[in-house]
Amino acid sequence: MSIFLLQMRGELKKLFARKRTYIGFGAFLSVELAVLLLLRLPKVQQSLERLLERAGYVAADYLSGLTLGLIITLSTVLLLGALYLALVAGDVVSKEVEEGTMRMMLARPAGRSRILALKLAACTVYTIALTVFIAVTAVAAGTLHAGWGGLFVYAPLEGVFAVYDADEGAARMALAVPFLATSLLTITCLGFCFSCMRMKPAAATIVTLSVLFVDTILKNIPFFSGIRDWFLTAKMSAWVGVFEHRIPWEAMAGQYAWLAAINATLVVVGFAVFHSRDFKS
Amino acid sequence: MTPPAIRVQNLRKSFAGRPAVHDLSFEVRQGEIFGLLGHNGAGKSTTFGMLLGMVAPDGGDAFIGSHSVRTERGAALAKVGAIFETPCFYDYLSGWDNLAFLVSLSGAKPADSRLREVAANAGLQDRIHDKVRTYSHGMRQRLGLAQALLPGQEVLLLDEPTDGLDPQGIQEMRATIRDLRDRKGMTVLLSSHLLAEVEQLCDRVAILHQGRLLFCGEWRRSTSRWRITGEPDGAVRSRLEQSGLVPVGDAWEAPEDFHPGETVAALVAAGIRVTSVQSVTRTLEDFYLETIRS
Repeated sequence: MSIFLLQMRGELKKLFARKRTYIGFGAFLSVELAVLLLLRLPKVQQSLERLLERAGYVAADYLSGLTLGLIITLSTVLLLGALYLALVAGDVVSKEVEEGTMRMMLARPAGRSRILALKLAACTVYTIALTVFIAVTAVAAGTLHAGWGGLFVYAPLEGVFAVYDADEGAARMALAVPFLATSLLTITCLGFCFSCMRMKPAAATIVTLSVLFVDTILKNIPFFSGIRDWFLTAKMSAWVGVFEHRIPWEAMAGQYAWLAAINATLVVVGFAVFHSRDFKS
Repeated sequence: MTPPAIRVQNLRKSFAGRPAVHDLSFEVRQGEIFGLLGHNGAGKSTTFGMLLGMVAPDGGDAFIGSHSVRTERGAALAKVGAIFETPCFYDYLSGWDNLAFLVSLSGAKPADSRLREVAANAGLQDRIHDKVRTYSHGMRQRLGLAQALLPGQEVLLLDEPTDGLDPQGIQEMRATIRDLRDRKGMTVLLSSHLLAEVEQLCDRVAILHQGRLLFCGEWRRSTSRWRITGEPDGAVRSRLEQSGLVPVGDAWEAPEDFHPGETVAALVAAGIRVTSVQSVTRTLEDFYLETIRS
């Protein structure tokens, strides 16, 4: 095993040995259960059925695990996902500095860039794991509730309205997961960047969330609708494009290129700030 | 001639314009236990930080063996282990996992047999798979020493290694440090507030005060105090001073290399008798305070 993988195993062991790492998983499970309970309410169910029937579809065919899974994912991932990714990524460097374990790492020959690369890689693994968990459990919970069936997509903010049979719906859902994980990686990079700065772990998390909330608020102000696509959270919503009948690959590639550039900038800033810091023994 | 294990050369560091270390130079020889002394804020921690590449110096350099910490940090620290005042570990991992992770950062794959050996030497063999949060302070300190010895370190930087230990723990730590030097030939740079500890371990020390080096070398000197009858006149007095005798209270203190023959003859010729000669052994605390006050 190469030494990087060995170090990575240690870093992941640290990450997944902490209770706070699992808060996100637990929170999503709770939210999924809450959404399913609320969907049982007759008023809610009727509203969903009316939406489908007005579009000329048989509600029973599309009120399925895939549909409910997507509804849950769409409505929770950007807010709740942001919270837990910011918590983990905001902690990843600053918590070790605060607790004094960072100096134990820095006293070793591994350079600062190596240490940060390990932490960033561990956060990326966490982001992917959380995304897959959200998608799989949301669809599983939805299927337990409503059974297997076609996928109905209704995302007015992203301008997507579509229906697919079960096979195509499942394929689109599976395709959405890596794109969603890539979108969420921007939150991870934001949290990581602030975590490298001279601030407390809680502050790094709060600043990360503040950036995302301010971005969301500005994006939703009607006067700014002309520049909506330039907001960070709008670019992060690009993953919903995979549910359009004709997937807008070019537009999505453009949005993800922007996100990649933003992520790279955040990582470079984080590395540069961390390299310039003094750590007294 | 064997090159020094650690060489600090004109190191300088300021924080927000306030000098923390000013043009510091000293050498630690291979296989010696060297003490770094100073009040709080004297610059010891900053010096340790610069030796480990955690603090970027404003000028100068530190070398471990022949490697510059500034330009070849990885090679310089490859054989260096460090213990800090309060060793901090991942409380939610076992002692074993902590050791394995920290060793991996040295670029080495930790062999289980080596980890077991070091854990046993630290007296942690029965608890090494327990979570560190269940360890006492003394056990953490011993785990700190264990990680500093892995994978196969030759130079140890110990910042207050006995901090918070009970008398038995202090004695054990002292014995371990001495044993590492005597049996494994390790070089130890030790910083401690407990001068009695340093006194028992170190023949050579560096004393820092407000970031400046006041003294570096062998502190242990045997002197003797000579008491004489009467008051020596100008010529005899200058003779005594030329011989290296220094007036201390009602006596004269003679250095270790004092040759009494001619001086005693001069005293006798002047009608002065030597009434007593008392050998004086200075403690490190005396020496430290004298140096700081001077």
